[in-house]
Parts: sequence; structure tokens; C-alpha cells
Amino acid sequence: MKLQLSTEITGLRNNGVFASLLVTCLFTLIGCDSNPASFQVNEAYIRAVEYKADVTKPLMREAETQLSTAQIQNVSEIMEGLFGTPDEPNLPGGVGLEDFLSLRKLKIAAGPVTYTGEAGSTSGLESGLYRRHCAHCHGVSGDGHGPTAQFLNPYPRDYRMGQFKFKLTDADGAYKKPSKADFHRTLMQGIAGTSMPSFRVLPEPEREALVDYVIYLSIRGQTERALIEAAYFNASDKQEDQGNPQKLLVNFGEASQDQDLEFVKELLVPVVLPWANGGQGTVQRTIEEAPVGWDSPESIELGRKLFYQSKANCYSCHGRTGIGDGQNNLFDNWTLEHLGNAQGEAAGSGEDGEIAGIPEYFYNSELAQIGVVKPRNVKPRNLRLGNYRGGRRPIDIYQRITGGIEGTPMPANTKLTQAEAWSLVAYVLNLPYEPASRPKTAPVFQGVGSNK
Amino acid sequence: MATDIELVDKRVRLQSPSSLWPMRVAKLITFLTFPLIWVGGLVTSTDAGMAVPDWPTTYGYNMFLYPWETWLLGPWDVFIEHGHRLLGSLVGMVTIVQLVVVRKFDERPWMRKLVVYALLAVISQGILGGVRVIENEKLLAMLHGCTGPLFFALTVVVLTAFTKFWDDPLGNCEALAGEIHTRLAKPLRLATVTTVLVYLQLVLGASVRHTPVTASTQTFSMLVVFHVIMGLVVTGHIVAVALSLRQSKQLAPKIRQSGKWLLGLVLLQVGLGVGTWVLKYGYPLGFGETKLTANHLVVTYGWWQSHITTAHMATGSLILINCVLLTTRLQRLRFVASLPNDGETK
Ligand code: HEC
Ligand code: HEC
Repeated sequence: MKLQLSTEITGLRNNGVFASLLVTCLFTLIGCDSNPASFQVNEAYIRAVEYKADVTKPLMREAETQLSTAQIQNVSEIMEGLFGTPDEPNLPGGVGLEDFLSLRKLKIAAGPVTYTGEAGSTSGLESGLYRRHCAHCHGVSGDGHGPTAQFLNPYPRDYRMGQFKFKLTDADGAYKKPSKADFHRTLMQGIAGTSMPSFRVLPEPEREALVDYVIYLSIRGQTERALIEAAYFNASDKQEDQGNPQKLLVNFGEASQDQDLEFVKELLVPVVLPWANGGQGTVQRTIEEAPVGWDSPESIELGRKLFYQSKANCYSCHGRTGIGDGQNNLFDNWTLEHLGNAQGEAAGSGEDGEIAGIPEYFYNSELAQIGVVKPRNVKPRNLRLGNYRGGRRPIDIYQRITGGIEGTPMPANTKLTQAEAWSLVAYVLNLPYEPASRPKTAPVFQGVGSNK
Repeated sequence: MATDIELVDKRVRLQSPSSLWPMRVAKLITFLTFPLIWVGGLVTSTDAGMAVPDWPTTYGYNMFLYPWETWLLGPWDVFIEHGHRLLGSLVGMVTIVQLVVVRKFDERPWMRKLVVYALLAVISQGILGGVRVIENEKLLAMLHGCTGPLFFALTVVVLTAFTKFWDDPLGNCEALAGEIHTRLAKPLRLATVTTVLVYLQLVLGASVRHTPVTASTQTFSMLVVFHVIMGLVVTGHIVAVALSLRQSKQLAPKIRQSGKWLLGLVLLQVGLGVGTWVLKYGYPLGFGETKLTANHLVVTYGWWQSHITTAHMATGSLILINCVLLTTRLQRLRFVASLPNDGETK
């Protein structure tokens, strides 16, 4: 009997040992993964640049066509010199960044989460807003590759391309960057139907700091891309810097840096200018007022016709019944970049409905390591569910139709007259309330053949 | 041999004390610990952990002298964090009272030791929480979150040892002692394994919750997948426990009931888990597109988000202590049943 008791106790102890081993493993795992925050080099883009340089050998990186470790190191040194670190952000001078970004705000948004410790302040927050609220999705570097990324659909935005979907600014040209007001709206409203949360509980000043920080990360990311391209072309052109082929900018950070500064400025200006346009970055595109009667039944009827006409061509993507089944092989720009094809090529090749454009060899764990997410198709919106991610005001829909959704296949339509565009807005807003059978009677002859 | 039996016999005779005070105090601790864990969870759910940046003082005040108007009427996160500290201190003080009361009324040597451990546990838990604030270190927050339920489990073990059940687990089935002893081997083993699994699941959950922002998406994904798989494993085990309790007809209804409780709790917990994900990250792939899912909006620190997430965590602890309670009772029952019948029945 004594024996039996003691075997039981041993059993218990074995269980316990096993459990504590596992617990220890978990803690070590989490502990090891909590290394200090740093900006990661955009290796995915380096890969994309190299890949584009020689499309026939997609993943075979040959010595001549790739950046050396020293060059990559150099890129990140320059980046740190210009923009600082996640704990200590910096704004490169001389290109007008201070005019619309505030270093003080950036410092509140950046850094680890700390508090000033003032009693009774609504928010004693001193720094760390971005890491507290955004980084687990968007990543410390703003690469859209935070811990949660893999399971979210759509993926969290990678800011580094500087492209944004929901804005009331131009589709293209000098005024195409989102304004601060656009970002504020996104933060207030969140993006329903995605995991992008609403941050309306945050005090206004904190949202302001976050908006500045998103712009900062975008500019930083775009500059890095420009730098990588420059490094790549320097690397391919060996004659250029015979003296020190391993370095992109020989003297960066040293006394005789005039030449280098010139070079950096050349890269920075085209990146910064579009963001700086519109003064404080708050000017919105002047959008036409909705004409009287835009949502009348006749207007809706006109919109319905347009939906199926080649002039608007909405049905070709959004499907005959508007449920978004017209195309199932589209990609957004963030994915296309890694597929290395022109948008049209990748999107057009899926004749028989399979997921087209993703080469067999494309995705592997090595790419996952450098922050390339698994390619997924972007689905044209199901317009019958009333899900308007960029906002449900008529003006928002108007802007989506005439300005498109940047970074996605949803095109900016320039062929429609203003009245026609408003009719489409009326039709789109009416679609969720329309019986699904209705479009069957739609003027099929207007469309070009079948679109399964 | 004879000495062996004598020893064992003696231990049984040392029953819970006749005074009701140890039980009352133990009850108080247990019933205070649950809200303590809940508020502790809220601290994480609403990110209030660093709202009071100093420790053991609160904004320079002695914790207990912090002006109550500022506490109650001030910002929410200070309210929660300071409240958690006060409640924690209260539990700590009641644990000291328990030590005194038990040492006065209870002669069982192991119990006299156990309450010392309980006090040490609650003190270290408090220090851990404090250091987490001073160091502003998320890993410590996770550790703090993982040791809380352990203390809760300890309080339940202590409480069980003061109940009537403890003194007379066999009730009027004393004649069946031998049978009970063999019949209960399986349920006891199951309950023990389940307890361990539940605790592992708590730790996994804490890792998902406290994953640092610098972790890779592969790490987080793996943790989530493990957490989900372990959730299924635990659910399966609890179903098995409930079934095996159903079959053990000799058991007191109180014990057999606990299978149902556990089953109910674990179902609730699965629902809360899904809810937590949806409220934090939206509907996962595979939920299909409907008007509801397509228009779902995640709201950071929204009421539902904070409370469902916290409820998920707190229910985890509830499941744990129910498993511990069941295991302790079964263990006690089997132990008493294994003793040779004493003089009376012979
Ligand atoms: C739970 C994950 C999550 C968190 C937390 C999160 N985001 Fe997002 N965010 C997303 C996703 C997913 C998208 C992509 C939505 C889409 O493509 O429709 C996105 C998109 C965005 C966009 C781009 C909108 C556009 O017009 O293209 C901005 C800007 C943004 N987030 C800022 C933030 C900021 C600032 C924070 C922190 C305050 C934050 N996000 C926190 C998931 C998240
Ligand atoms: C080339 C394919 C394509 C065409 C043509 C197209 N769309 Fe889209 N549309 C999309 C995609 C893809 C999305 C989803 C974008 C995203 O990821 O948010 C979308 C999204 C939308 C949305 C949702 C906006 C929001 O705020 O959520 C509306 C409304 C819409 N389209 C209307 C139209 C209308 C009206 C037309 C015709 C003028 C049209 N689309 C033509 C592909 C297309």
C-alpha cells in the first residue's frame, strides 16, 4: 500500500517535471524573441530588386547580381544616420520635413512604453504609443510584419511603399499622398471588415502623434527603397567606385561628407515632396458637391446600367451580381512586388480560375524569414454586404470610384462624367438593399461575353 | 509494518480543527483572489500595467494613503492598476491572518507549513508585480500572470482541507473503501493530468497575450496554433473526466457535480476564446463573408474587447481551480479509502 502511494506520487512528480520543462521552454522562447526593437533592413525589397534584375533566375542569387553584406550594412547605417532608431527617431534636415512632421510628436509615438508619472494626467504617456498600439500588427519598422501578421486578412499594411488605400486626395500626381485628415479618419473609424481597429478611445493628441509617426515610417521606408536601388545600381556598375566597392557611401557620418549629403538629398527630395505638398499635409482634394437628385431612382437606374457598361466596367471585377466574384486572381501591389511581375501579367493569366500568377517555386520559409508574406489574392469587394472600408459617406464612395483604391486593382475611373460617377455611387449604396435576383435582368448584351 | 499503520492512522486522526475560523479565513482568501485575478487581467487587457509608474508607492504616496478621490475619480487605468494593488495587499494581509489563525487552531504539521508557503507565494507575487512595473518588463508581466493562478490553486487546496469532506470523505460508504480505492484510480489519474494540461494551457495563453512586438510572426502563429490545439486537448480531457465521474456512482454527488461544472466552464471558455480573437483581430479566415462578419469593426480598448478578453483569462483560472479542487478531493478520498479500517468497523 505504501508502495502504491509512492508510485502515485512519483507519477504526479513526473507530470510536474514535464509541465515545468514545457513552461520553461515557453518562457525562454518568449524571452529570446523579445530582443530590443530595431529597424529591420528591407530585405524583401532587396530580394525584389535582385529578382527583377534577372527574372529568369528568380531565386538563384548569384554573386554579381546581389548586394554584399557590407553594402546592406551600409544601407542600414545610412538609414540610422538619417532617421534614427525606433527608440530615438530623427528627422533628416534640409528637405523640409520639419514643416509637416514634429520631432516632439515622433518621440511620443516612438520608443518603449514609458510614463512620465504625473498624477492625474489622462495619459502620463511619455513615449511608446506606436509600440503599444500598432507594432504587434504593423511591425516595429512599419513593414506590416508584426507578430500577428500571418493570421490576418488582409495583411496589416506595409507602410514602406508609401501607398495607402483610403484617402480623399488625388489618385495620382503631385497630390496623391493621403492627408493627415485621411489618416485621422482611418484611426478614428478603423477599417471595418479588417483587423485594423478603431482608436477612437485615444485622446486626440495621441492620435496626432501616431499619424506623424506613420508618415515618418512611410517616408523612411520609401527612402530606404530608393537607397537600396541606388546601392544595387552602384553594385552592378563596378567601375564607379573602384576604391571601395563594398561601400555605398564612403564617408557617411564623417567630416568630408558633402558629396554624400548631396547624394542623400537627391534621394530624399522626391520622396518627401509629395508628402509635403499641401503645406501641413492636411489639404484635401476639392471634391465636387453631389448634384441635386444624385440618389433619385432614375440616378440609381443609370448607375445600374453603367455598372455593366464597359465605360465603368465594374461588373468585370465585382461580378454580375455585385458579390465580388468577377475576378479571383487579382493581387495588390504589396504582393505583386514579390511576385516580380507587372500587375497586368500576374492578374491576367488565370484563365481557368486557379490562383494565377504565383509561381510554384515562389513561396518558401526563407522568404518568410525576411518578411515576405504568403501571397493571397485580393478579392473585389462583395458590394451586397454594405462593407465600405474607406467610409460609407457618399463622398467616400465617390472618391473610391473616381480615385480608385491605391495599391489594389480597383481602378481610378477617369472616363465617367461627374453625374455618372454620382449615379454609380447611388447604385453602389443601394446594392445591399436590392434583391439579388434583380441584376439577372441586367442588360447582359452590354457586357462583353461571359464572365464566370 | 505495525509502525507504518500507526503513523498513517495518526495522520488521519489529525483532522481539520474544530474552530471554524481557519475555514472562514480560507474562504475569504479564495473569494478575494478571484476578483484579484480578474482585475489583474483587466490591467493587461486595458494596458494599465504601467499607469502607475512607481512601486511600492503610488505616484509617490504610500499605497494606502493615495487620495481615494483621485483613485476613484481619476483616469480609468490608474483606477484599475491602483485597485489591483490595493486588492493584492488585502489578500496578502488576510493571508497573514490565516497564518496566525491556522497556527493557533490547526495541529496538522503539513497545514502549518502550507500556510507559510501561501504567504511566501503571495509576497513573491506582489514583489513580482512590483518589479514588473519598475523594470517595465513584459516578460515579468507574463510571469506574474502565470503565478497568480498558482496561488489561487493553493488557496483552494487549503480551503478544501478545512471542509467536512476532508474529515469524512467516505461518508456512509466506509464499507466500500476497498472498492473505492481501486475504482478511483482512473478518475484521479485523469484529473491530475487534466490539471497539469490546464495549467500549461494557461501559460500558453499568457504567452499569446504577452508576445513582445519584436517577436516574429512565425513565433506568434506557432503559439496561437499550440494554444488552439491544447484547447482541444483540454476540452477532450475534461469530457473524459466528466464521463469517468459519471460512471463512479459511489462518489458523493458533490464530486460528481464538479464534472458538469468543468464541462460547462470549458465550453464557455472556448466561446470566450473565439470571442477574444474576433474582438481583437476580427473574424478569422473560414468564418465566411456575411453582413455581420464583413462589417465587423475592431475597437481598441472597446468595452467588449477588454471584458471578454479578461473573462477568457479569468475563466481559465476558474477551470484550473476546479481541476485542482477535484484532484485534491479525489486524492483525499482515495487516501482515506486506502487506510485499513479502524477499530470501530472491525
Ligand atoms: C490588429 C492589427 C492592427 C493594429 C493593432 C493596427 N492596425 Fe493598422 N491596419 C491593419 C490592417 C489589417 C490594415 C490593412 C487594411 C486594408 O488593407 O484594408 C491596416 C491598415 C492601416 C493603415 C492604412 C490605411 C489605408 O488607407 O491604406 C494605416 C495608416 C494604419 N493601419 C495605421 C495604424 C496605426 C497608426 C495603428 C496603431 C495606432 C494601427 N494601424 C494598428 C491592422 C492593424
Ligand atoms: C480591376 C478590378 C476592379 C474594377 C474594374 C472595379 N473594382 Fe471596385 N474593387 C476592386 C477591388 C480589388 C476592391 C477591393 C480593394 C481593397 O482591397 O480594399 C474593390 C473595392 C470596391 C469598393 C469598396 C470600397 C470600400 O471603401 O470598401 C467599391 C464601392 C467598389 N470597388 C466599387 C466599384 C465600382 C463602382 C466600380 C466600377 C466603376 C469598380 N469598383 C470597378 C476591384 C475592381
